[in-house]
Amino acid sequence: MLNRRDFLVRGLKCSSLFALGPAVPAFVASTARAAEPGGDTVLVVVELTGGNDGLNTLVPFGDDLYHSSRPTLRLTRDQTIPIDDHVGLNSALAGMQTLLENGELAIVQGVGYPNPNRSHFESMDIWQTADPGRRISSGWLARALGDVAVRPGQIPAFYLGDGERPLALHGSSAAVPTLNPGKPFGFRLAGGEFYGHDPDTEEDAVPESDKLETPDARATRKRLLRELAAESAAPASPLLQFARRTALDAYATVDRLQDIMNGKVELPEGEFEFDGREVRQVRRGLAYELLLVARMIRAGFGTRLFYVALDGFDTHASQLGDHNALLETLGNAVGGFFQDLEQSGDARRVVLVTFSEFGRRVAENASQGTDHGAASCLFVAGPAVRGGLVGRHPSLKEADLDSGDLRHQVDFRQVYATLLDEWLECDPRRVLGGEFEHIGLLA
Amino acid sequence: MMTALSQFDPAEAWRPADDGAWNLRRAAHLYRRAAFGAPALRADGARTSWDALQDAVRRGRDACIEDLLAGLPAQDELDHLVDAVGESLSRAAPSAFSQRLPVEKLQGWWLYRMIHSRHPLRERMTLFWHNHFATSVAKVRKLPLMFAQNKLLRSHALGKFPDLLREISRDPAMMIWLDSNSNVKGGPNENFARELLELFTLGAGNYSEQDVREAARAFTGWGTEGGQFVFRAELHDGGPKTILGQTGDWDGDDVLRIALEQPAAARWLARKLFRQFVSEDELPRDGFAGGLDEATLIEPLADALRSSGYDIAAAVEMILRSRLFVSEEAWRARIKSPVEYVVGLVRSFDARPPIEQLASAMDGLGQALFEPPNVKGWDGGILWLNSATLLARHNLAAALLSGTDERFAGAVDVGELVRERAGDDADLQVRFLLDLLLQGDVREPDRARLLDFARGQSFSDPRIAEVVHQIVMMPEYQLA
Repeated sequence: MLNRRDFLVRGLKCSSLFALGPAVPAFVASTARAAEPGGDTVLVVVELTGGNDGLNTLVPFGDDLYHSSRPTLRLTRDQTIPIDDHVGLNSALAGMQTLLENGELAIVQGVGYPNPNRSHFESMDIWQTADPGRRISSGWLARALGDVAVRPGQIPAFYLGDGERPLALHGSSAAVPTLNPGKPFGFRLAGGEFYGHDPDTEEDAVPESDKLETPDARATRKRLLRELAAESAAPASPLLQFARRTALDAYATVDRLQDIMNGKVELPEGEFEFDGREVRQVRRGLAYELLLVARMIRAGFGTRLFYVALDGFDTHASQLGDHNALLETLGNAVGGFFQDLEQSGDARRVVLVTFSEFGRRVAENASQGTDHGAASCLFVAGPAVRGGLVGRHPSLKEADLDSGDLRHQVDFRQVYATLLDEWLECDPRRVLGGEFEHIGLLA
Repeated sequence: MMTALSQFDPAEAWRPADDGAWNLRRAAHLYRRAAFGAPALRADGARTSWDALQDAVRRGRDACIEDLLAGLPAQDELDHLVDAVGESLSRAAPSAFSQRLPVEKLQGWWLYRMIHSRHPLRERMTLFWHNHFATSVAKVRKLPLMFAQNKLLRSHALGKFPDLLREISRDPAMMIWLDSNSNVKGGPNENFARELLELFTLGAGNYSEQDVREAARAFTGWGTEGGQFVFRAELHDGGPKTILGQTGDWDGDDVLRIALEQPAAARWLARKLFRQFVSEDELPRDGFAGGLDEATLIEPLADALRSSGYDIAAAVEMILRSRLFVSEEAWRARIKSPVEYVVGLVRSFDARPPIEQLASAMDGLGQALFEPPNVKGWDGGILWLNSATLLARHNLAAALLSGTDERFAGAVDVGELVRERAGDDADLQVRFLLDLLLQGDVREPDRARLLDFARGQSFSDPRIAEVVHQIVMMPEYQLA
């Protein structure tokens, strides 16, 4: 039986794709060429780094044990967006309220895995490899990429951020590039190595080594690259046609990415910084990264997976203000992201999922913070999502805790399996090495 | 170009090609497929890759194929030295900070070996087997075991497939990779048995689920301890099994024997060798419109494997000498893998890049050695190229050639090398470079554009490097 990849490869070999007109960059030709229905869905993974406190994210205000465990950190009903008589979303997440009200936000409660590991490093590895046994060190998304159908020549996955590429994307057959929003020149055609660059133009988009290249030289070089890859009337093998088309695509993609990354953006007030000479827009942070993702989706990039991260959730001391600020950043970024996608009509094919390596201890510590815990909640968002609470809220009763931490009811691999199978349409057994019961996340 | 592979007469296809048509183009084709491009042997102070190509044209095809199969003199001394270095690199400790294994040391070591090997066909085949028996350090997590497996693959790379299969089934890295230790009597783990039948010997559709279960039982008790193969008799299921129609108290070696007795086994291997050496174009699975199906075209190669006891060198030689190999259908009918691309580029210009830097760049191109994505290996073919990997090729080539990227400073002086051969005239330089890198596989307007570009720039070495860069980014150059 053919899998999707075979289908794509064969489709190409039958060269019907080559008959689709002149050298139009694939993303201009829109997504109509996706191999089959559902073949152009996008998954955005948001890592909340440091261990997000689930209890102050989805707040069980109706539980006395919550209030007694958290004398200084507790939130009351009116500090939440109530969902029922028992729990509500921390009102710092007001940016996601519309998603919640539209039934486009699923909140999965009590997510974790057996024998929880409370080391950042090890638990993060476990989530990223999807292997609590820690025998496999390739990433779950990287393994999925082998089965996720992507149009030939397109970039299957992107990591956006200024850190090292996450383990989740390590070990795939397709190279996963990093897009560092703070260094928009990172994804560009090298060239300054030969010529250098004119310091008067595009200053902030050009690395030091390019400062001697003249714009003319750069334009000539880029034009020649394209001319040498252009298709011509002379007969060429399907493979050569493919190589030409892919080269043209690559150059167009680089230009397009540069435009996207250098383009003016509208960010909320306060998102500016002074670098000593001038006021600039802040080109970093979750909201900015998701904005770039939205633009790439709108531009028709065939990318199926995006990965971004928000750091700072390791709230051992003075948690309340810090944690609320992080949730506000998260809520605004995710809310804004889906607003962007709604405007461009792409929201229906995008699902966003958050995760963190663990939750935090039920009882707060003596520094008005919380220590490393176990189970936590996570979000799955998008118009394709079946909104609302998923599962029961974990019990805070002492007898139900595991060394003071919440016990999980949903294995995170059930979330992965559901998204892999029902959203990305790839075989979760192959990726996860076992069978995991699906949960009702998608409408 | 216009005759489809499916129009070939299989008997004709495998007959040796006429040596008389041997020329630069054919020599370069042979070295692209059976080596990593013509070797730049600077040992005598003079032989660049261009010299090597000229030499190959003079000596004739048969002498070149013989050298490729047997390796060049003094390879044993070099091997000995390189093995010793690899052994010691594989024992490098993980970084204390991150627990990350220093895989790039071993990756760099292998790249170095490919660049400098005096037996490049054997390195090509070692890489072929690394992809066939794809094992990743990601799960094995022990560099010495990865090194030992690499050594094993090399020692049988051009030998008899049954010997290689016998050894790889006992290879500790493979056993960790496919969970042999948890395959025990009463609680079989089918991982190895399944991949053995599906990927290593027969291919899907040539065995049943029942065969997998029974084969797994036969391998029970095979495991690894302290980095060594062990057979634990008390964990072995000695009862009768029926595997691919044969019944007996089979053990693991019996499964290997039975698998290799299947007609599908030689066909499976022949198909992979065909894809490696002849063409990545897919043939119709069933003959249509009077054409030839894949099985028919490949069957003579499979027969040669069967009748020689799966002699790999003999099969490779049959391919390299065949009419099929020099047919237009085989011409640039493969996409260069990242390793072929980078090693070929380095060899063409006799570059000496810091090898770990080079190794670290390979992941961006999509092929980190010792880290194949899964047990199927790299899919290869058109999946090697996308916007990101092509950009990575572009940027790495620029960094290597310019000589001014800090990672590769001084790795190569392209200007000097080209002026040495072609003088100061831009026209001659471009002609030389196109002969060296593409041997005429270039459209006339493109040749003219490159000439314009070369003439139009200021007269300096960066300009020569820039012309080279343009050529190695051409779609034609991405094909092997």
